[in-house]
Amino acid sequence: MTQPDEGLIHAWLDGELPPDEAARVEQLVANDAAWAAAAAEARGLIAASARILSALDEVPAQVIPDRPSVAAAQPRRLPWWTRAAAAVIVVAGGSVLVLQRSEAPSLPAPQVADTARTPSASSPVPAEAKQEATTPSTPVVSPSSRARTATADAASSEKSQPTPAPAVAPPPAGAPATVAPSAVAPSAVAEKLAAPIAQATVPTAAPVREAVPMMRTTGGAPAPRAELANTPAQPLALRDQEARRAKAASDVSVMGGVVAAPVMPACFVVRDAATPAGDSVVMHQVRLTGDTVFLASREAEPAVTAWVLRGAGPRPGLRSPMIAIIATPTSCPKP
Amino acid sequence: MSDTERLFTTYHATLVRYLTRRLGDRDWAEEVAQETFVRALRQDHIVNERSWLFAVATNLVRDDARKEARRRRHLELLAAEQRDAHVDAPDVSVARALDAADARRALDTLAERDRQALLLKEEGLDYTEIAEILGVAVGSVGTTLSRARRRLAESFEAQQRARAERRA
Repeated sequence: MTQPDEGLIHAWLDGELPPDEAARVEQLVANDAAWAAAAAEARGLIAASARILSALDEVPAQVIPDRPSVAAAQPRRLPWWTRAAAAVIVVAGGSVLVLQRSEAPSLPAPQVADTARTPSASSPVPAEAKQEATTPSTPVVSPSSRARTATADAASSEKSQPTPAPAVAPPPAGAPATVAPSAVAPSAVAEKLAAPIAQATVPTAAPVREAVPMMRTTGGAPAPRAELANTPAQPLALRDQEARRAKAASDVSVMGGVVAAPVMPACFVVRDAATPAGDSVVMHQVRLTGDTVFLASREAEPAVTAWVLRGAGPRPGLRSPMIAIIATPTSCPKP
Repeated sequence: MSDTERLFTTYHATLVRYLTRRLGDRDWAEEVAQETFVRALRQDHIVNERSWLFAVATNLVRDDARKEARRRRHLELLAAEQRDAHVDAPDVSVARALDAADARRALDTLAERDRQALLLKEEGLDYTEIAEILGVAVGSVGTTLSRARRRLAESFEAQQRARAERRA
């Protein structure tokens, strides 16, 4: 004798069981008192629920003030560049850029973020990591914590270094944040690389937006040019859905990447590899902080902003859901 | 009869009833239903019309698409005709209004998935369609429904009992 299975009985009464299974349940109900009682109860519940629900049909319009809670709205589907969980920005700078690089031996070597952590980059940074990132004196007990400590140290040293003069005026107060220290993915490398940039570029009043493992070029150790050329560039800006929802009011998007471009020209044509050039978005440079170039769209509504890092240029190795971004220097359109 | 009219005639009444039960507001339900049909008309091909319509309507409710749906009025005439044809003028006595309020409160005590499964089943969707819309296994629908029906009945009964005690 088996215990009556309520779900099975309801499925049987709803006519949802295959014939053999229905026959088996029917047999049980006929021969087993417990199953018979359960079936009778189920019949009553089905009838009762139908009757109760029918009472809801006599609802005049606009008379019930309380609406049932519904699940939170799904994040809107955004343009391709904002859907990019991460972006590598490649600048077709050509030989001019290479030349400029060769003429600028002090340009720091790029350091590569841990892109394998991209899928988890949207998850909040553990409180521990945040704490350590802001507490340089944390004892070093493990490689990861060492890295985090190094991040904090790097951040400290970054603060003490003179910041290169911006090419253009900084964005106005309240301009969209790009990355924030607390939002950087808990990758040791990424933290190490991202924190100084974040500290250097995030307006203090701006909300935390992104979890961004990224490439950092400022403050890195110089590297041989050949090594630089072979460095797999994986600068990333990961769109965090929570952050996206939080920034709904401003509706500003952020993406990131590497650009091997010089400061000038101050506008870039930005698109992904699959987008025709005609659909590109012209973004103008609004700020340059160290090797971080901040872009804002001139065309898109709502405005799209991006940050890019001057660094290694095009590299393979994109990982889903990243989208390769091509940012080509261009002359700025007239306002 | 065009595809549009057929789709509308076949599913509008049940969809509005489902949405009204779900939302507790007929105007809102009408708007969401109309938006659902507008979206259906944009589709080249729908494999399972009923399942598709209810899934979209469910998602619209979730997305709170009411504001956008307000602008979709071009099916209003059809909706009015359909409503006149299928919905009798409500006889909202006090007792029935109280029953409706109890039913609403009872329904609101259910978990979201249970509530949706129950409302979809009441509109005649089969277990496969319900499972598809809710994103659950077909085998779990029976259990979900049995739980939902039991809780609805118990909660409704409790509401009525409490009201009777207050009156006494």
